[in-house]
Amino acid sequence: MKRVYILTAILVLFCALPAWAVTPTGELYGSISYDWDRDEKTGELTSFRTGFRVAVEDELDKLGKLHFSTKGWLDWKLKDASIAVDQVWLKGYSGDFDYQIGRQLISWGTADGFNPTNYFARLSSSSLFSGELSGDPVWAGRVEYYAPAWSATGVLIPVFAPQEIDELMEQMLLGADPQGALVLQAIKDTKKPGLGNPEVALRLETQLAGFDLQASYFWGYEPLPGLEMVLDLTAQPNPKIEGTYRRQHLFGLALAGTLGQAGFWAEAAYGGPQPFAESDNPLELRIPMSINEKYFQAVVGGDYTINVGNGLLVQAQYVYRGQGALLAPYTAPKLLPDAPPQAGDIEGAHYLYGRLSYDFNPDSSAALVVLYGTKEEAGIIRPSYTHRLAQGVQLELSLLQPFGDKGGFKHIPTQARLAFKYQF
Amino acid sequence: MKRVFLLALTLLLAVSSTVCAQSPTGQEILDELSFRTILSGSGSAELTMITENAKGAQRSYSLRVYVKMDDEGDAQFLEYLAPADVRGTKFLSLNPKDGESQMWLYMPALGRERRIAAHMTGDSFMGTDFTYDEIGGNFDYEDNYAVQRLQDQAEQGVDCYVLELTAKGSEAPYHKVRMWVWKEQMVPVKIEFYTSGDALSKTLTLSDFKPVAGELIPHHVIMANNAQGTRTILELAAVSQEEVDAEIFTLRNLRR
Repeated sequence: MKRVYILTAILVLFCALPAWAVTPTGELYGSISYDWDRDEKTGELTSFRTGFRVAVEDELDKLGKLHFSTKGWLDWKLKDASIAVDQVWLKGYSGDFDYQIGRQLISWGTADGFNPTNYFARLSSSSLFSGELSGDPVWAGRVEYYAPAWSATGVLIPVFAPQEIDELMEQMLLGADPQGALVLQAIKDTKKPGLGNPEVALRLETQLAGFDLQASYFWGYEPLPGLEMVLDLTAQPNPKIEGTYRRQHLFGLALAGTLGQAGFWAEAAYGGPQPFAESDNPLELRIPMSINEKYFQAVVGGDYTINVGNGLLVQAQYVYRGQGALLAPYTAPKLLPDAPPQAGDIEGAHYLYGRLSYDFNPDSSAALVVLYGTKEEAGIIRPSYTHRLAQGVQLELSLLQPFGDKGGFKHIPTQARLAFKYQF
Repeated sequence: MKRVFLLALTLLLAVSSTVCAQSPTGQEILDELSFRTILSGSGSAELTMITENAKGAQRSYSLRVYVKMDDEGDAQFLEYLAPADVRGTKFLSLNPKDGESQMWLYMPALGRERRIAAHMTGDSFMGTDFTYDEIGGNFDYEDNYAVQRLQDQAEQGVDCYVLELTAKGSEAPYHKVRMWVWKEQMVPVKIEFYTSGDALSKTLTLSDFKPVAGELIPHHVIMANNAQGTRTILELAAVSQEEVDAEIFTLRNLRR
């Protein structure tokens, strides 16, 4: 039914376009993905997807901006389809204030892809590994105040939206643990906080010694629910997994600038969720599978262009996640002899991220993304080549190849993908 | 007020209504060109930028550009209007006289700006044959080069002074620059850029000069990358020399 409403709204809107006198923009795309199972040594066509995104935007006589965009896709292989509002917002300018209300992209931070202070624009696993690094929009109200030497931004999210679990993340969760299916089901079954449970954030920005400096505070929810294993001590061992979206506070700092000949950025956040509530049932044992204390996360990175040919751009980042592994956010309880199970150890995880990109000419470019987890001793490598066939038309060929046999990376299939995009 | 709008922001416009002195030295000619006036004043323009690969295939971009210069320094703001794959990309460059240059690139898909590192100022700007320096107006002839006058030549059908600028040190982006200056109007009509070993790297050609607010503005500019066989062509569509609001050159405007 929701799809019918959205479709009707879109049709009404586009019927009104001639009267609105704005020109729609957007893209049409298609992609074919072929996955290779390294264990079974078999391959199959896993996705044949076509899709679109259409946007209209009006400058409102320089007083603000009105934007509406919709997106949809049809997967011929999976026989599945989706249509949804992408962004719809109204932006206004008034004196020293800019304000924006509606479904919008709120992207904070200074690092590439791994942004501890990017509290709202959640990145799907697919976006992260593809290097697109474009987060998801959220329904929000935003106010920005600009003083001559500093600015402040306040954001209110009236209804919390959890992290969406895409196919890639689902595969990793399913494969991460023998109880992966239970974990995934528990995530899906966890009740989301409804109206009356807003999220808020505040960011202050200024410049210090030539660096862009941002300080931020977030009061909201964990993007994925905190999970607990629940054991009924009176019954046969039949563990259940239950989830809760917990409130969390995060304090963040981010900066960007240059150091000599190189670009430099850093981001850090400290905080964490409220601990799980103590069970008042003495015959029930609840064992946290998620981090249950405050943690620290940080990213330090830089980029530099090596003077080779047209210039080889090299980006490198170090990522620290105090809340545990990137691809396996839940830890199975420890089984102890002659003692009740205990929460598993959640250790900080370290990652190295690198990206090389090179433009052969304005029409063709290549990139190589590498992500390596020191704890997992594993990672992924993704080479890609993009060729622009004509104005607004491009083809991209990419290969996603995991390496190493530990951690969540091993559950990522080897994937070759050919994508076509026409932008208008 | 003498105002000159700089198209493509640095190398592209050279304006002086002063009639040159007879047999001027190379330095005097360079002074007459007065690069300080290139960046003086403020204005805005819409232009078409065409990139051409070695096979002659072209891509066309539509841009809106704002430039401002005052006693505190200069600033540029550039926005891509078309084609679709770069529409909404914006570039802000602030070059204070008493401080380091700062550049930001706003990418709509990312939803935020990124600082551009200083090292990138010598790299290709958005895949064109212009560097960030050349687009951003940071090419400093006065401090980085020693000038010498060569034999006069005709170029584009006009009599020209020919200047040769040799790098004083490693800070200069090019080892040598050769410049053809239209004697009558004291504007450059061609500039060649050489790397070490005197290899011709790029050639900038300026033509279709038209008066705008009393100043001669080239409406057709070509930057050819001689090493790679590529070219970037700028065609000025509309020019305004009205004062540009300082608010344009802010992160706030970049995000709007």
